[in-house]
Amino acid sequence: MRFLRPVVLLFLALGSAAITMASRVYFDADEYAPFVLEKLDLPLPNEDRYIHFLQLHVIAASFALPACLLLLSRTLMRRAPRFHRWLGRITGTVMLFALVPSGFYLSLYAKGGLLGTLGFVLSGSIVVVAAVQGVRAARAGKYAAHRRFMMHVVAQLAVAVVSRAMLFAADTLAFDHDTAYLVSLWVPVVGCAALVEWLAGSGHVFSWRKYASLSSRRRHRSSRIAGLGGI
Amino acid sequence: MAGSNAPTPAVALVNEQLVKPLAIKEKEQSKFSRARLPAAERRVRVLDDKAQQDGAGNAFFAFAIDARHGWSDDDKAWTKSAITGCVYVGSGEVFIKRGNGFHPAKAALGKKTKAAPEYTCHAAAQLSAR
Repeated sequence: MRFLRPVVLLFLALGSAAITMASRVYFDADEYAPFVLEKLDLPLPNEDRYIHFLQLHVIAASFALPACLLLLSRTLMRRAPRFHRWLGRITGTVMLFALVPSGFYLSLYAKGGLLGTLGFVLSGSIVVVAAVQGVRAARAGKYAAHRRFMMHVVAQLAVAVVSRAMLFAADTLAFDHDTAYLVSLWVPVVGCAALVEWLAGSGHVFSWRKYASLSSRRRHRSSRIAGLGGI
Repeated sequence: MAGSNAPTPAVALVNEQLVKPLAIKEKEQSKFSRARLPAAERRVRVLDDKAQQDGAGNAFFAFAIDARHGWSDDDKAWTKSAITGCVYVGSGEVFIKRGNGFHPAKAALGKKTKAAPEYTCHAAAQLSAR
């Protein structure tokens, strides 16, 4: 398994770079990008708003995925833990206040109708819940849980790369585009979440709940201790 | 690239103003996008046997462009009427349908355009029936 890690990280880094390069067309003031052209047939209720959210999403994503890959670096964590913490804070802020909200808005006009919207909303929701829980875990000193939650965040950001690769293959093989779009969305969203759980080990399947109950127990214990101390 | 059903001048105009520039433009398109991959082939069908008159008295033909995606060459790989519009053989103008209106052909290339006047691509009889 160990040799897979650099391969996966390289695949995601190259994919992220390719998406960023391809996304430059969204900033051309004179022309619509092909992705936007597809949306104009809907038609969009507010074209300018859609494009502004798309641009915000692209900028946030072009920072967040490479940053997340950097945050996975064990060397960085060992040698520059403060940098790891600060990069994590900045990345978390970008994700929670730019990437996910803009993604939720764009999802309203996703291909595939309600199923397309729900797929993106599920992915964004996993990012929000996992990022918040990951930060709480780190603050509580529970680094195994922190790592696990953050792996969920990275896995959902990786959906952008995996789904495009799947869509490219499906389009090349002339599968029905709308069906391929939904399959290329749902399979990576659910698959990446399942993969993280599987990698985390079967003994930890319910660790989210366990973590939550541990936190709650700790709070109760703290308050009891505080009460005993007369504070 | 395109089919060749009559009337030929209309097909030739659609090919020159829409199909060929679109194919050139799409060569630059990134493969790593959520947008659909460009069509491998397109064919133009003119839908009217004889020209219709729009509300301004100009003659036009309605057309549809079918597109083939992917490696496969069988009928299933063709999307019927992937683009629809009309062509004015007299003035050499080509329009495509977008939403509820018609736009100049360059809209298909991504250029920002305004919708053509309402009578464009609508037969006079259709307009008076509204």
